[in-house]
Amino acid sequence: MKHKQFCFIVIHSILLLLVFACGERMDSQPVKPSPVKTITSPKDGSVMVFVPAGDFLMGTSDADIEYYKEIFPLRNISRFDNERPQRTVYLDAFYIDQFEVTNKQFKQFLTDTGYKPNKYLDYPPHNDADLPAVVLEWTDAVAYANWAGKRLPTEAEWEKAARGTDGRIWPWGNEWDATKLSGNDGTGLIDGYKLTAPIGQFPQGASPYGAHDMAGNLWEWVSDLYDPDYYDYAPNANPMGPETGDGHVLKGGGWAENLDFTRCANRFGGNPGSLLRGFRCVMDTPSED
Amino acid sequence: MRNVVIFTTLIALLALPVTQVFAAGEVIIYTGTVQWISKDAADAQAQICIDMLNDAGIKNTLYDSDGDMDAVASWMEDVSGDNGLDICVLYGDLPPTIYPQGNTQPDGSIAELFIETTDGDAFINHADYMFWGLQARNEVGGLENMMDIPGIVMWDDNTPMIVTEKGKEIAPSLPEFQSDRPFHIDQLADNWEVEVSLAQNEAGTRADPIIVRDGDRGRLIPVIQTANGDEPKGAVAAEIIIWLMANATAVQPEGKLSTTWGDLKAVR
Repeated sequence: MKHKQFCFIVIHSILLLLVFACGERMDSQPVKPSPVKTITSPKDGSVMVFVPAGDFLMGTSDADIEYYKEIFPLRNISRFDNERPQRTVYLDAFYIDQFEVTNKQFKQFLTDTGYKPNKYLDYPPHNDADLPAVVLEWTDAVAYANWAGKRLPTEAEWEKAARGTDGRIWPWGNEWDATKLSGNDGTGLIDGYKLTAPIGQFPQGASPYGAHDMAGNLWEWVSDLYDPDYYDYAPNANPMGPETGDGHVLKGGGWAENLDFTRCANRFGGNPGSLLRGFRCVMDTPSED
Repeated sequence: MRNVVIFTTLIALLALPVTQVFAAGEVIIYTGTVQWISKDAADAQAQICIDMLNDAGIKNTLYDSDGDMDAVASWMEDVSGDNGLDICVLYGDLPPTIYPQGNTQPDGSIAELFIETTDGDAFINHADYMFWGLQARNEVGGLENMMDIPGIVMWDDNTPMIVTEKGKEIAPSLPEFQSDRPFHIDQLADNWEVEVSLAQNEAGTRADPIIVRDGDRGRLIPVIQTANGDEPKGAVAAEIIIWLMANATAVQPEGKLSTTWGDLKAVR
């Protein structure tokens, strides 16, 4: 009997060791969205998913760089310098919109407030009610968030909501899958949408916390200013972004982008050019959360 | 002597319908407004291009302020159809003085007329989506209207560009790289055709840089359209310009009747 117990313990230990040893980047299986908790924002009706307090891996690791050399063989590796070093970052708990802010919601904001946006693409093919609102100016996104009683996520909040705690490359895992996002090439041949998709069409590509369209559809504004060297000196708890920067950070990639720009760690700032962008909001949690 | 002149004239007249040749014209480089490249980086690349053009004896002018947009428009109107091959180099933006913003003049803009004359004028564009415009001024409509090809786009970031043999010959500075806004060869229509593909993907459906030409009219030349990339845009542009000025203006392509601009002038 003791021999059997011994064998069981040994086998069990080996299996556990194997699981832990393979823990990094082994989550290529589809991740079913399993939000711990959701609320509905009273002002704009958005469903928000809960992201618990705790650490997560932010940025790009040396191992990631080796992988990128394989999948982006002609990219200059310096292209990823602004995502390094990878570090463990602690965040307080928060709620984040499950979907990007839609035209229906943004127009409600405009109607309620009389706000005149600086650059909002309120014309076809961008302005169908269920499409994400294309809001080119960061200040317009901030105005909406203020109206809704929310705020834009920090870059760290956005990235944790998109990739969870384990440093995965895309919201669904570490294997590129062009069927899990509104992205690719702007032709619609793979994802079924030539431009943006109505929100929530790719549940199979949701993040570990159940946030949809974190990769693709529209680039998303966050609250941080953009400094390519910020990760060299950013605090490891609740980073709020640098005090100065070149425009604001954009995350997530858009409908025309594929495997590089849609990585959770990718960050774009300064001169967004032909990147069409939208946003989603976050809300701090009451203390009992 | 008289026979020689007549003979030369006949040869020149025979050659003209085969391929029209024009004098090397002027180059302007506009960095007043830029996209997907910093102003400093655009100016630095422009200076590299200028230095190489100067070494090659090609007349050029830099317009490096957004206050130069009107001057760009004046220049373009002056040189359109002047029988010289003129080239306008852009760094991701198309000034609204030559293409009214919002696609409000889809036909007949100064920019479109520039490439609709038969002296082979060309736009070179670096960095961002060709003719997109700042703040999505034109979006995809800019390229569609300039080419008169509905639906043509320049998406597909991360497309590996493998340098062709012709690319190595024309632009020795051109590296293999990943284009973020490659030209879609498979969307060419009407009289537009590939004149030279300098780098392209394996399937041959995407290219950057590439020279496409609208029959015997103007050219579009996207050159290294990457997001904030540090590739040698200025040097490659200069090499393409030098090649164009030497080959598209005076020397016949292989297999065609040979004539030179000098010959044409000689018989005048």
